[in-house]
Amino acid sequence: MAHVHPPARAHLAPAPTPAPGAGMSPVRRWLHLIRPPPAKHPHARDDARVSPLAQVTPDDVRNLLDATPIGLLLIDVEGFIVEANAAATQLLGHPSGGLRGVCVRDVLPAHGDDGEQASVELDGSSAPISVESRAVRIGGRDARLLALMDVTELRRREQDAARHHDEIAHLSRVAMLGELSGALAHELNQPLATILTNAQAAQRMLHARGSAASTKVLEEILADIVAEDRRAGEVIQRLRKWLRKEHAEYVPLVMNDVVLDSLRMVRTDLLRRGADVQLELGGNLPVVEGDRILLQQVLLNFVINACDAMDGLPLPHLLWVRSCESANGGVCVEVLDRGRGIAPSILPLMFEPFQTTKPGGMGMGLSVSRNIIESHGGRVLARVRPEGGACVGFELPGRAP
Amino acid sequence: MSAMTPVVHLVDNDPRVLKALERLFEFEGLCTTSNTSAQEFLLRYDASVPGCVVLDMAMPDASGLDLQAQLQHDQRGIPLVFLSGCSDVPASVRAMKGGAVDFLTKPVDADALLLAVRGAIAHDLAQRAQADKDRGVRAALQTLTPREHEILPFLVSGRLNKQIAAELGVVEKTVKVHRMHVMEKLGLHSVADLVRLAERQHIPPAPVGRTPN
Repeated sequence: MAHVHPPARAHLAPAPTPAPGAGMSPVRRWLHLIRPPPAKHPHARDDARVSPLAQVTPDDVRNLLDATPIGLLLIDVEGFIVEANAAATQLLGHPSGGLRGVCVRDVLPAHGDDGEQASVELDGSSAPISVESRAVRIGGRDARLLALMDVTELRRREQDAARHHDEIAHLSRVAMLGELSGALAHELNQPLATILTNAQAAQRMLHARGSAASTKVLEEILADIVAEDRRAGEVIQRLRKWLRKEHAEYVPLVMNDVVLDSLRMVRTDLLRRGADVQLELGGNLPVVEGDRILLQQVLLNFVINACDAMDGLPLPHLLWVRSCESANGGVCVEVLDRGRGIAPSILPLMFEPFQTTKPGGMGMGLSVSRNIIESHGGRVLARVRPEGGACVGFELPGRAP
Repeated sequence: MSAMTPVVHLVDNDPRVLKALERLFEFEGLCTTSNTSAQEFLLRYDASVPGCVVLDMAMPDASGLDLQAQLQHDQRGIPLVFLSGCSDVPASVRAMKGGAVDFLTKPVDADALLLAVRGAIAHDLAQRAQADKDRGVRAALQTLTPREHEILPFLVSGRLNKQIAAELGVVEKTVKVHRMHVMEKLGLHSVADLVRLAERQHIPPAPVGRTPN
């Protein structure tokens, strides 16, 4: 479809003809639009340089345009391309000069909207292109100048960064699981131990000479084995979800459910550490949009930190998990403890990477938590409690209606 | 003697684990009690009944080691069989040093568990038999006269009647009679038996060359 429309030709007027009554040559005016002459630089010498623009030829203009790294398209009022520089033809995958007379919608289907859009190239492929358009008057005619930039590389970098965030979050989840491994092993071991003992008891009952093992007892044993097997399966299922590596999946979430799920994951660990969790969950909280596993990860990080901060202090190790509606109609979740608190010098740095006060800590937990919360459009909070201990939490915006 | 049937005390916070262990032990003809916490066990435990404890290490309210320390503190020397989710070496070392008879890793094979439990019960019965014997010996020692008590350390030291008589300033025949009475009252036949008994009862032999006052 790279043919040249007959009317398009009419617009290919000889460029250098000065528009009558105009103080500037059209070319000059065009260039002026591309790059308005800067205010005089304080270091510029008065007499110094004379611009060569006064004597330009059409070839000079073309050279200048082709030297511009930004793709430029000049479009007439009917939407046909009348000029395209080298960067633009390359960007849109056309041979040199191949764009002239092409309707702009054939290469930029969403033309008319500034911002990012997909191009349609000659070979049918497509690339993300950022478009900005300006109205111009050239040679006495109204036209539009489109500046095009290939943002493939930019998008790729953004995707890389997002993937890195995902990977770091994943690694940090794996590390956190390492910390919880004792408790998890216990949770898996209990059903396995129960299954083994039940099964071996049943075997003994069946093999014992002269013993009429009652069907009722064997049925009970089998029912227990099935139930225990399911229990182990649930632990594995939870682990698998926790360790999955996919991208974040933003879905509407009831924050209190996320809080309860998180606490369920560390229940055994909390019990063993003698931590006593008090829940103060607000009712009728706004629904938020987020990734369930990532938000659980943040909460677990806060809860484990709170427990660590109370390690070695006399029992009971009290800790509170609170949720409430935030001032801006979102949800605020806080984890409060009675631990050693946060040193004032650490407070401004605690969400930075590699900041840790734990022996053997990597200092990644809170920085990953902040990344996660910020990628949800929220913010993390931390303060020292006047009554002792720390309060760490986050705010998430409510879901857009 | 039915009150003296050994009991296996099961302590685990998970009722489902308890139920399974109960089934296994009861089928094997062992009496059990099921306790979901160390506290519950300590409240119900009757130290006069022989038996053993099968204990989960990772209970939330008090770890197995805490319970062990508590029992030791109370001088209730019931044998403990530890079950642990992980083969945590320092914990197992502490448990064994604290007098645990066995340390098994969960999930545990029924044969290994029964072997450990039967071993623990045998250990407890032997301990109790020894304790009974010690009590008998202590009672017998109470029946000795002051004079017999006086010559006991000399007998333990292996001295001859003649030597003892000289050291105590009595005639040899008197010593001979005392020796006979001591051996009779304690139910012993040889000086070797007497030495062993003295060792268990912390009766030191009379030092050589010194006459007790």
